[in-house]
Amino acid sequence: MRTPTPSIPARDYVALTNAELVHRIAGGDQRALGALYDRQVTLVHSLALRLLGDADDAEDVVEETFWQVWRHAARYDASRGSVSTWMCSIARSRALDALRAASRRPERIATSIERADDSALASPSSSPLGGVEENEQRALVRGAVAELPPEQRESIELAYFGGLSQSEIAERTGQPLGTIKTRIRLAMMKLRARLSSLREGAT
Amino acid sequence: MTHPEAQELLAALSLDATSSEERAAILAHVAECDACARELGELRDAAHAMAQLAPAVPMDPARQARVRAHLLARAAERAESAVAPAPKPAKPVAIPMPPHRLTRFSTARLVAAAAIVLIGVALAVYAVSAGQRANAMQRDTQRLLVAQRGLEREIAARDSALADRQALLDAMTGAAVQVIEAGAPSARQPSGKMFWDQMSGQWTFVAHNLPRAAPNRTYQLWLITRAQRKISAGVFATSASGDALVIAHYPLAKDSLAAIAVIDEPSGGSPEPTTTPVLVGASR
Repeated sequence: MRTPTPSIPARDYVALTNAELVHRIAGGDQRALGALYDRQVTLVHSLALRLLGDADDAEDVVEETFWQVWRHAARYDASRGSVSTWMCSIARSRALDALRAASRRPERIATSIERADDSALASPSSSPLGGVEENEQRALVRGAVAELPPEQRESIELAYFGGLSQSEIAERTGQPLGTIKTRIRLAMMKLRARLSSLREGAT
Repeated sequence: MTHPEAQELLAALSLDATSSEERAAILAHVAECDACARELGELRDAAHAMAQLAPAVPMDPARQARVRAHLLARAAERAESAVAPAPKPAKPVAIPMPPHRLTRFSTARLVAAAAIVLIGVALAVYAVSAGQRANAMQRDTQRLLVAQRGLEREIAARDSALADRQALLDAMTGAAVQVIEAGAPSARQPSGKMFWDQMSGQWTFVAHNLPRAAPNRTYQLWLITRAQRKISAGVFATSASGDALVIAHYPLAKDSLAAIAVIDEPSGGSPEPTTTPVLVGASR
């Protein structure tokens, strides 16, 4: 059962970190949910749209993601990742579920990967997410991924945006499973190291 | 699964790219191993940072507002059913807004709830001591139960009245409420004020000093859009003192309202305005 959390002045929500907002949401603070929504909706929407390619489907995923945040805020554990990670993880899994349910996966994966090649890495400055900080984050992530050898990048993108397992990636790329496992491990180790600065400031 | 085996697969797990058997085995190990749990957390942050590779596409503003409103409405609904009355009304923190809805009116409810508990205790105590006075006890118990039921009904009625008042307050004081004033230059100076909650689509109209409508006539409230569409927000009669309160629900895009008008119409209202407005107010 929630313990009611009193509201605070609207401007004060701006100063709260994501984790503090989630804490307030766990206490039943609806304004905190609104504040987190305003702050994270573009990220969640962009991810959902990238995975699903359809604005209506993406809208459903956005609402469902924030609804899960409202319902399960008390379960959020900062030691298991940032709030963004938690929300992206919910959104991604909802979106992949929707793709599987619609059995549209094969076609979507192809477009998904093409889009990654032509838009994501090629235009680091396209449509800002909001603040300078977000832009810096995006640039950092894009830079880190761009530095990976292409075959490693392909493996983790097929996993993240295509929802493919290691065996499915092996099958799809015609590479031995062991090779794919190594690529994924190396790529993720490098990404983790390059993004450790993000983690320190993560909330 | 051994620690080295789990380590090999943490990266794949962070991308949900393992088989389900592997996943279960790694998670079982992670639950016991702090080092792996920490590493998995970091890898998950790295994996989901990839969301930033998706081209940033802001949601269409109308969709974004719709989802926000729907989400908050769902949250409010759920909060009401899930939250017990607070032990004390939480003090709002210096904002000129209604305090948090969940904490409102808890004093009244608490007093009423306490009364019910006391009656319950009285019943229990009475039952123990009344062994020899069975008849008297039965009568009195009956009376107390009736009193308790009456009190419960009163609480329910009060709760419902308070909920209505809360909804009215919300609709008039919300952040997304636009106020449209409507006046007329006649002697009695009828006046009106529309509180349009653009978030919930609730329209709350308050009017004063309206002359009584003629027999077989009524007042009808109109929303007039910039595209000159006329939407009826209902018909209404005034009180003896010329006051009226009209509440309507109609979703309208934020910038599409041009004006509101109160028009004297035949009883039952008209599909289209037929006479000159008694009150008109232009939207800002």
